[in-house]
Amino acid sequence: MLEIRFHGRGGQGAVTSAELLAQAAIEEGKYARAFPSFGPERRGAPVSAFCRIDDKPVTLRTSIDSPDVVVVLDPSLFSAVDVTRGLRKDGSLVINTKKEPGRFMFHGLKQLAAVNATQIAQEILNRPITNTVLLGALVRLLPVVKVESLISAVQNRFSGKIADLNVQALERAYEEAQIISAGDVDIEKQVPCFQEKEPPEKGKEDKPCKEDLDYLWTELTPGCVVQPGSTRDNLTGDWRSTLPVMQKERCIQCGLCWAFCPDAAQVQEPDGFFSVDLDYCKGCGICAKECPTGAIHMEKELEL
Amino acid sequence: MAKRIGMEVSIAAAEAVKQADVDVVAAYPITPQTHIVEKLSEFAADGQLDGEYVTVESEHSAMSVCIGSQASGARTFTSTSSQGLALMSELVPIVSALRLPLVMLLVNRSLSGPLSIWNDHSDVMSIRDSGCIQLFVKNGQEVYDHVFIGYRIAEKENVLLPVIINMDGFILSHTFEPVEIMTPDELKGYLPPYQPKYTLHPDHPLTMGAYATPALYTEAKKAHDEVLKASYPSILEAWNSWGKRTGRHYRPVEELFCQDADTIIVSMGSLSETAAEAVKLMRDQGEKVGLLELRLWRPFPFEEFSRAAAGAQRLIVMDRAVSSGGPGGPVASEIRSALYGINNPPRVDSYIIGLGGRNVTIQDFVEMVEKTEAESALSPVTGSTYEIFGAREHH
Repeated sequence: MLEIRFHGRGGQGAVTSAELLAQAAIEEGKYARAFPSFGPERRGAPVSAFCRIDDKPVTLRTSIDSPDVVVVLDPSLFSAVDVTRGLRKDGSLVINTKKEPGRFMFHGLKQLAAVNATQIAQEILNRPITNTVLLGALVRLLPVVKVESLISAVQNRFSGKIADLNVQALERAYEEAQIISAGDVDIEKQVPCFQEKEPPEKGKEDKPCKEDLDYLWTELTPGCVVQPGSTRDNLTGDWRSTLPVMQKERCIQCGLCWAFCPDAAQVQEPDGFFSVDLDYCKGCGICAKECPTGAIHMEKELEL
Repeated sequence: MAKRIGMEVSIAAAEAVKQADVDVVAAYPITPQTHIVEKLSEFAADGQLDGEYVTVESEHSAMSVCIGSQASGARTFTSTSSQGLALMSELVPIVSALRLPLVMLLVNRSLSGPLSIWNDHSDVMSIRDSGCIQLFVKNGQEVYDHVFIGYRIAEKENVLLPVIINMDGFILSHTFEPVEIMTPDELKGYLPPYQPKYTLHPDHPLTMGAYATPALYTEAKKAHDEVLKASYPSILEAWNSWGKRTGRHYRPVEELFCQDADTIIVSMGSLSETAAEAVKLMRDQGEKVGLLELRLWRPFPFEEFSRAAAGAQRLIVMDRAVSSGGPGGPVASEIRSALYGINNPPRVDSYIIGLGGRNVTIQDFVEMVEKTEAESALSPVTGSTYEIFGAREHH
């Protein structure tokens, strides 16, 4: 059985990726299951989706914690989510990046496919929906299913022009994907991309890096009462797919961005101008909307 | 010793709520609970109740108000019946999960349909698993006493759970009988002022009722379950302390002639008093019959129950609710579980009786005992799944 985990942001089609892959496998007479990480869905927030493919019926219904393959649809996720968590030794990685792919190689990884999926999606689909692009790179790296089966799954899923464009995007990614194998890169000689999180900056130590709630039942307060300040623990910055950018020359320091920010992520600096606390900014764009002088505009989150 | 006063049990209940220094009452009138809340609203209007009576538009709102007032640190009371409980039931597991020590008198009435305003236990069985402490009482005195006992249990720092006191609709609520009403002096010190651990207050902001992701929900349920089970000694303490003060002693399981009984009737609530008369009658006739009254329903007193019932050959379990298509009446099913695995367990027969206000007589108990004894002579091991006793089959 092959286990594949997709990481994307709400709206990028991670779930659709998993489903298309499963559909292609089922069309070929294999067995497959695809499903999302269940829960509330927010556009832009990190989501994951899972796909299992096997020659015999797939019966597992648990989320995939030790994948054979990890597919990352959005480059901004490398720093926001532990995408390689649990990746099996000699596993494979399929990523969306415009950077030199060799730097994503690490000990224990067998191979990776890298493609500038955002650019391909923008050029062909005119929007940053990278799911079908990454599938092209995936099948180039690993013949999980035949390209034709994937194309047929895309054509069944979408219709008309949308289907044609997605097929085009998939085929282009198949052509352009760069394949790196262990041994192609001298890992010791590069700054590793996937590493342990850096400790918090001085003065920001009170912001816990804890990603999951791991309280023991004995540690809960009666009635699960939550003490004040709990939003500090909830680093909503990883929901962000667009980033507010300030132009100081236009800012009149009126503070409306600060007043309207729903997460108190606008912080006034000693010079009177405002900056964004990236740990909490969700990229909602309210500050840009409210700014009376147009000093704030939203830019796509960059690959960090 | 306090003086016995003749009064309707509902009025005695309202009197107890008044004396228990309740801060907020929020309730919506529904038969047969009506007299309790009418009296409480009178007390509030006359200034006799040192608290607020909040008039609400439904039982759903009643429980919502109770949650809010209890969360703000006010000692709160409510009461309902049947459909009212059904409407309120969305909030019942919430009040317990929030660990708010509300006391509720549930004046048991059958759930519709057919529409019935009369007594049975189908309402309470619908919230059996709501995580509240649940007790059954059998007469006016026990109703009165358990309002105080209920708050003492509920508000203990290591408990902090709602206590639901079940009293049979009409059979108790609308009966006029003698009740010993305590004087303030006699009550003094039994119920210390409510000191909540957490309260909603603008000066000390905190969150109650936050949602739990899959990473937390199981731990929250485990913590709730453990505290409910661990409330047992606190319940005993509240009863013991009340017993010392009043001479009225209560146990999770009350026994009558159980020690040498071959056949034991198991009952909850007001049925136990008529059953006791039936047992005495059968004893007079030389039958080795006993009565086991289950007062504590949640947490279920497995150990005490098994100890009291283990010596009998037959248990005849009375249920005032049907678990249609299930393994027996709700009480009988639990008792079968409680006895599972012990050596030579008694045969358990499940009888559904007293539904929708149907009268249950001494003769009914005698008949059930005779029927069970005759059947068990043929099959001593297993009892019938369940039988809806007394349903007419012939003209």
